This record gives sequence, C-alpha cells and structure tokens, in this order.
Amino acid sequence: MNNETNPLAGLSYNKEVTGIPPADDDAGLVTRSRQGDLDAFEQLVTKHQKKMLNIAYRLIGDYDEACEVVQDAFVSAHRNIKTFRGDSKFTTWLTAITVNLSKNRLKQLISRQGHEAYSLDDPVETNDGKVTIDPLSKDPSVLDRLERSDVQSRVQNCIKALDPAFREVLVLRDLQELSYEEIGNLLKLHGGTVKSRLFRAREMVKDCLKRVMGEL
Amino acid sequence: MKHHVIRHKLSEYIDGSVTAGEKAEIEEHLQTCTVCIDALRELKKTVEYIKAVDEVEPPAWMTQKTMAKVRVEAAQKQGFFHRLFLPLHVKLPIQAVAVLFLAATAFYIYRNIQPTAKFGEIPTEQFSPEKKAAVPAPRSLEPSPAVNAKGELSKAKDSSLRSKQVPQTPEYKALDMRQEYESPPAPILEGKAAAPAPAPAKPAEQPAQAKKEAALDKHAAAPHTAAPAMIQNQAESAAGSSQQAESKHESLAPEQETKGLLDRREERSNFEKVIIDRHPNGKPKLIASYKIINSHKVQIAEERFNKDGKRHGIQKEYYDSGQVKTEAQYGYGKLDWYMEFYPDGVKRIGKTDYDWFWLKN
Repeated sequence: MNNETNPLAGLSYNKEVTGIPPADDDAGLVTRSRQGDLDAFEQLVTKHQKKMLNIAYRLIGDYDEACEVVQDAFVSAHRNIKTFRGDSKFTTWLTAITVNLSKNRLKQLISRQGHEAYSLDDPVETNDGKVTIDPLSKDPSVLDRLERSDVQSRVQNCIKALDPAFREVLVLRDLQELSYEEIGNLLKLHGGTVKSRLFRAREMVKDCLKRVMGEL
Repeated sequence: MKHHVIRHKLSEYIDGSVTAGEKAEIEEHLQTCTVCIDALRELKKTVEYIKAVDEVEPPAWMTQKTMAKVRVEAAQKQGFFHRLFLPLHVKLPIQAVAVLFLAATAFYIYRNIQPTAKFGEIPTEQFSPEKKAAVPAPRSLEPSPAVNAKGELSKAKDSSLRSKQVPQTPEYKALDMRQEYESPPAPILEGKAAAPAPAPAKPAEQPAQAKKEAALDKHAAAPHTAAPAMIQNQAESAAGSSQQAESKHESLAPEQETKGLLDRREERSNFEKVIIDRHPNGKPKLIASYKIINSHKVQIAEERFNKDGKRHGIQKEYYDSGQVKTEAQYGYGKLDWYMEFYPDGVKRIGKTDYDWFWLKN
C-alpha cells in the first residue's frame, strides 16, 4: 500500500490566513523561474536550501536522507512552479513541499526499520525447528546514548524521539520560527491543534531533556 | 482560568500568542502558583535549548546536484513538450501548406483528367481515306423508297440492326440507359438535329430552325461523299428499311447571327450525320454525327428523336483535339442541361440531377 502523500496535495500554502498576499523577496526570481530561467531557479536553490535542509534534517533525523529530500523538494518545486500563484511566500510553499516529502520519507524509513526489526527478531523456521535469533544490537539504549552526547545532540535526539506529528510542529515553530497560522496552513491543522501539539511537544522534549541532563 | 488551563497556556504565553486578558490572568496566577512558575521556567529553558541547536550546513555539492536533477527533468519535460506541442508553430504551417497543395493538385487533376477520361471512351474508328474512296457512293444513306412506301419498320428489325451497327462502347451503353427516359412523341427531324447543342445559351439559334430545315432538306438529297466503312455496312444492312441518311448539312448563317453562332455552325458544317435507328413509322430515332478529327472518325453527337420527330437525348461536340467540348441533354426538344468542357476544366450550365450518372456507366 502506498501511504505516501503528494507533496503538493491538500496544502493551502497558496493562501495566507490574513488574506493579504505577503511581500515576497523571491517574487522576481520566481517569475523568471516560471519562464524557464534555470539560473534564477538556481539562485532560489542556493538561497533556500539550507533552511529546507534543516527542516528536513530535524524532521527526519538523518542528514543524508534530508539532503535527498531537499533535492527532491526543489525538483518538485521546479516541476510545479507554474502552479504557484504567489498567494503566499515562495519559501512557505517550498517549506510545505519539504515537510510533506520529509514526512513521506520518514514513513518509508519507519516502515523499513519496522520490517527489518520484525524479520530479525522473530523466530526463524529451520530444519531443527524454531530458532530465536539473538538481539540485533548490543548498543546502549537511547537514554544511554543521550547521556554520552553533548547538549545539542541530546536536544536533537529528544526532538527526534518525538512522534512526527509533534516533531513537525516543534521544528516549524521553534527552529524555523513560523507563526501558528503558517504552521496551521502548512500542516492543514486548526490553530488550536497547532497550539496543543506545540505545548505537548515542548513538554515531551522538556521531560526528555530532564531525563538525559538532569535538571534544566 | 483554572490552574491546568493556565498550565497549558504557558507554551503560548512564551510565544506571546495569548490575548491581553489571558496574559493578565496567567501573570496573576504565576504570582501565587509555584508549580506553574517552575513549569514556565523549564519550558523557557527547553525552548532555549531547542532554538540553540546549531543549524546544519548543506553539503557543497548540494546546489549542483539539485540543479543537475532539475535540468535533467526540465530537458525531459521540454523534449516531451517539443514532441507533442512546441513543433506546432513549425508543423502547423507545413501541414497547412501540404494540405493546400494536395487539395490544389487533386482539384487540378480532377478538372483535367475527367475530359480526357471521357475522350478515352469515345467510340472512334480508324478512318482510312483509301477505304473511304473504295466505298461506293453512299446509296445506303439515300432515302429508301421501300421504306418510304411502307412508312414503317418493325421494331425487332430496328433493334437487331442497331445492335449490329452500333459499337457497344460505354457511351452506347449509356445511350441504352437513356432510352428509359424516352417516351412516345411526334416527328420532326434533321432540322432539329442540326440545331446547335447549347441551345439555351444561344436562343438566337432557335428562329433559324426553319431556314436550317430547308437547308437540310436540300442536303439530305445530296450524295454522301465520306461515309465510313462502319456507316456503310450499317447502311447496307439497313438498305431495305433505312429511309434516309444525312451526311452533311451546311448552315445558312443569317447576317444577324453572332460570330459565336457562325463559328458553331462552321464547326458543324463538316458533320456527317447517320441515322442509326428509326421508329416504326420511319422517323429517325437515333442520329449520330461524325467528324474526322486528326484522321480519326469521331462521333460528334448522338441525337434522339421521338416518333413525332421531337428531339431528346444527348448531343456532344468535340474540339479538334478530340476532347469533348460541349454536351447537352435534351428532353423532347427542350434542353435539360448543357455543359462546356474546357481544356483546363469543366464549366457546367443548366440543371439536372442525373447529369453524370450515364457518363459513368
């Protein structure tokens, strides 16, 4: 079953809640890109790739995967740039694409990991009967690893430990400093849900940090 | 607000997203609630930690790699687009010109080939002057006293005569078909036959009929000087029954006639008219006109008459090249339609719905 979602589907990123189209510094480059100017699009890539990479990295938690996702996001943006009406900022539209692609990639990774864990942990049928395989890894637990990490790694790991639904709100708000409205538009969530998820995400990270760092 | 509500609002409070009223309530509550004060402090610290996380830098190759992917996809998209749509600005004019060229060519061929094809169907017979010279004076073409006396021929005889004498070419088949249109009637003869085919276009010719009849009567008595072998055979076999054959007639061009009419009459002056078939009452039923064109004897016209002598049926005229020049369909003396064939096409005048069908058969 393909549970991936179209990075452009169902997004209301073309509309700002205020109804007033925000001034977009990228408007000129976007216009040129829509006319097929690849140099202009390259400037957009250079300008926004870091921001998109950080969003993808914080959502996925894997640098290489995040790089792939960001590339895909720009390719997707270029493919669909003629559908971008300019009702919102280009960066908001691009962020929406990146978030959706990141969520898709995360689902794939979780599915792959879940499948592998299942197949390795389960007893295996042999000629001599069922044999239980030894645990996969003797690495320290997540908490043990967090203890050995510096603060940033611990924070990153705590963010990574969040459920994706909470993680994306936290990343967009506290790392990308988007407004509640923008987050709601990007993720198709009501304002109350955004606030509620953000509160719970922060509480979970706080608890996580308290566990790995002692007192805050 | 109750404690747990304020506790949940602390996250928004940090972001400054609460209303002024909520802010006042929260701050008032924080004066007394140590739990909320601790929670607020930890929450602020957590957010600080989160925001303090360093940003990762994109790899140096990222822009290049991204743009490479974008360019590949753009090239593929453009290639597909070019194949389907973009060439239109080139393809469309070329296709339009090609279609116009084909249409013009087809039209040109249609207009030129049709008369030629018809010419191919014209019943012709090699005309040999020697043969013609060897042939005795066309007594067969002279009026037959026997028939005149009887004044009637048997139909069976007529038809067998005709089947022997008339070559069964497509043109004659067509003629047979036309017989279906025939219906009984009232005699007139050579005078009408000599009338120019494109009658409606030249109404001035109609008044000349009486004069022509007089002229034709004169010529009917004259010996036929150039009867081809086929006609002679026919004349011989029909000797007992043929009443009369008309070889030539000359038009008496009245001075008031137009030059066109004069020309037309001049053309007809060399016609050789042969009665192919007769009605039982002896009146000519089918008269063919022949002309020598480029050493070929070419049938110039076929004219049909009812027993009252009124003409109906087809008449044709040819250019010297042998191409059909005019055709006319008569219905009991009245011209149904008339066509002129030019070397570069066909001009049709007149009316009818059955114009071409017999030519195709």
